[in-house]
Amino acid sequence: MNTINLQMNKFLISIILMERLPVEVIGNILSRLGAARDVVIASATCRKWREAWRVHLHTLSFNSNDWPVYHELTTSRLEILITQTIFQTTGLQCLSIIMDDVDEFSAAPVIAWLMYTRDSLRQLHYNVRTSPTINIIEKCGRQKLQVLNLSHNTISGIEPSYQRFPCLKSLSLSHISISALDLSYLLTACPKVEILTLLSLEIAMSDAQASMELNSPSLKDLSVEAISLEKFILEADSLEKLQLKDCTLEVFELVGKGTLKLLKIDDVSVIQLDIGENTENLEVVDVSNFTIMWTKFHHMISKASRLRGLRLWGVVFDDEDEIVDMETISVCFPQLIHLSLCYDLKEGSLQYSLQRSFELKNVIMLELGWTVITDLFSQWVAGLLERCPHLRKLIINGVVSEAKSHEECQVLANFTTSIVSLMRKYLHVDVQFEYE
Amino acid sequence: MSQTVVLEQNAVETQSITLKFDGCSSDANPSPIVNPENQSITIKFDDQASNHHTIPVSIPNVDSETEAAVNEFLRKHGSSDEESVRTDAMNDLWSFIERQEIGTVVVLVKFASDVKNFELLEIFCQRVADVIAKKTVEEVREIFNIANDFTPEEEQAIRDEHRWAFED
Repeated sequence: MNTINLQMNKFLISIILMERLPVEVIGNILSRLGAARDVVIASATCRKWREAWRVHLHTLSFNSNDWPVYHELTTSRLEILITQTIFQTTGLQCLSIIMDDVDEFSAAPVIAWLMYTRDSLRQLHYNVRTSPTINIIEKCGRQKLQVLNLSHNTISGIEPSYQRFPCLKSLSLSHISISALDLSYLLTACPKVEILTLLSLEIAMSDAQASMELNSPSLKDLSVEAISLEKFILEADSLEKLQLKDCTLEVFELVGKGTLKLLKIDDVSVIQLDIGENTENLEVVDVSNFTIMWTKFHHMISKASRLRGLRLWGVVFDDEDEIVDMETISVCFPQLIHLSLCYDLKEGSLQYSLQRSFELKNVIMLELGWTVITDLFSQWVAGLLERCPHLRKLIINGVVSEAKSHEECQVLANFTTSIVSLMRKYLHVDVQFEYE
Repeated sequence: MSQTVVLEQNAVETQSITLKFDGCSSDANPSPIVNPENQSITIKFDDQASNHHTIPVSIPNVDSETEAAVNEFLRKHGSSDEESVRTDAMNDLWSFIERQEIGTVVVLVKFASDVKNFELLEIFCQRVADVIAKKTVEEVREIFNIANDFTPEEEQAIRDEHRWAFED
């Protein structure tokens, strides 16, 4: 009997509460729903919910990933439904229009959406070309904008004197055509920007310019991917995270105040990489698919005595005789906790390394990998295990090729045998295997 | 946040003073500062608990397990400035809420709205939103026992105006 009463109570309660929930809270719920179709449907349930949509909705999203039918609608139909839905909101703060299949929207509706939301917009995500091309930077609301995420558009004619983004914290540009000068102006127009993401930019350089120079005293986090430049100079006194991926550069220079904490380089071709002399604050260095000149690299990070994580993965040495000097690593980075290594092992250098007495006192997680397995690998694992007295976790990461010759199978089997007997000596270490 | 209380004595002898704020009594025992000139006693509370997050709250109309889970969140979330601790607290509460029936979540939304707790509101509103997603109008009405107060003409007008959303 008690359970039935409780259930009835809950039923009544939820009805009463639904009617007594402030309409702003309903607006909050609809905003978390975000997806335009869901919002329109939910707002058709009753008057209060409709009012919540019309007056209190702050987030609206038209994303082709949300609803398969978007792909079947014509571009004009999409323009109409987006216009109708946006124009029935008030004070929209976050607008997201991500339509992967649409080639281009007409300029007129896009301008209308931007102008209608100009006074309240805090976040804009937009990835469709417009025809004719419009200057989105000029048309969108700038006063309150905190997040701007633009793709597949052209940006030109930046006027930093009056086109300013006083509140912008996060700027993301992908598949954008922009000149180096305009990008530099744009950054100057964002005095509070902290996060900058550049992906696949087509950067036009004027004949007179040899380098792209960006300057941002507030920037904390820079991510650059798929960019090709001769010279890239970044002046960023507050930069804490720098990530470069799949870039082709001749020169990359970071001018700052030694605030960098994380450096990540993946599949980058660069002739000269300079992150400054003050690397004392570096906590994580992650280099993969990169050609290293060990002496230069070592010089670059040797002052990072607070380094906690080091990853050298798929690295190749410019000079055949150079090796990853483990002894130097143990001396330079006494606070190292995580170490990940994967590179070609050479008999001579491996034996040399393993003869040195050094200890990686604080390493608790070790990740070792091979691209092509050899018998040297087990020796290497054994040697390093011996030198990590406080190790808690070992991850073995290996590439296993599809077509395995008998010899390859034998090497893998030998490795398996030796790792089993090795781990018997280190029962306290948790081993994990990841093969790809 | 510290609170200062000034007591002025009006020639009435009192042996003991119990101070109550917002229905909770404080056993803090701070040293009072006596000012003989105007016969006032000033007691300063360095009251971290006045951030109401860390005082256990009672939530009407939910079972004790739910009340405990919310209080555990408030305690954990308010106990540390560290991002990871706060995220853990949110994840724990989120996992708990996902297992509750929608009636309870609605009660919790109202509670969070009444006490103006932004973090709780975020979690509970998100849960309601997740339940509504991808449903039809009739299904949403059913789940939340929402009474349809549109006239048939009004409802038809809405469906016509946004035909795209109602096409299946």
